Amino acid sequence: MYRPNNMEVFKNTPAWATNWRTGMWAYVFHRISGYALVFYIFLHISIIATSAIMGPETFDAVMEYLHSPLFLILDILLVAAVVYHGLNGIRLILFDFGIGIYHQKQLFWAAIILTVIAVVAAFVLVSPAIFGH
Amino acid sequence: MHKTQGGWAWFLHRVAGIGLVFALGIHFWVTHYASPTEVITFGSVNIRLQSLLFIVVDWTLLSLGIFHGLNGLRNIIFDYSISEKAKQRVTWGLVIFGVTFFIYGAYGLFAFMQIKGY
Repeated sequence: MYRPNNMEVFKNTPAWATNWRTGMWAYVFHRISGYALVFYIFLHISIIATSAIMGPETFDAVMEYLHSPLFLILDILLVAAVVYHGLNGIRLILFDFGIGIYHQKQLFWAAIILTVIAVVAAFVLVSPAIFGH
Repeated sequence: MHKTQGGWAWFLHRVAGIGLVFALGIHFWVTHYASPTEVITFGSVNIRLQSLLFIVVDWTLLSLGIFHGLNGLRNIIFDYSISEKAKQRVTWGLVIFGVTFFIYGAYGLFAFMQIKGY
């Protein structure tokens, strides 16, 4: 009897998408942004809560430090992850209601385009702070 | 696909996701993009947290963010065929981790909220 090995068991399952088409990329980006965001939110809670508990002077110093160009640019990456994850999440909820499944590719591209627009808008809005230093 | 994943976890993941879209929209706009050259201070957060809207938004972000993030992590872990016992351990581990972080984050929020006239 043919027995698939451990690697083959996972192929083309949510554990390991393999078909290399639009839906796979929607899924891969959702998962990567999900990993990034879950890591970020606990870092965020830790830093904000710790500095707030330590008092106004510490909090203000931390906020001043985080207002540097490097962190403002990292914030834009955060916008990319959040906007894509949120829009693709809405896409997935629509599918749960049976809406838009046959337009899943167009909805993926709509999510990508809106994410790009949000990133450009964020960059334009925050550029005075980035280049003002 | 995953019997043990639970209908409630599935349902609440989506409800929390929708809530986060709105709360994060407000949070990002107000804290980062409405006036990007201004540096956030303890005082400005203290004033903001005197309005009901931001009390609701910030507590929503803390609770829904922790739940949605950790439940998403649980979904990913459950994509790999682990035993029922391991799934239970993962769930409890994430619950303890999440509750701990919620309490810590709540301390942080209370730190902003307790001094009214800062």
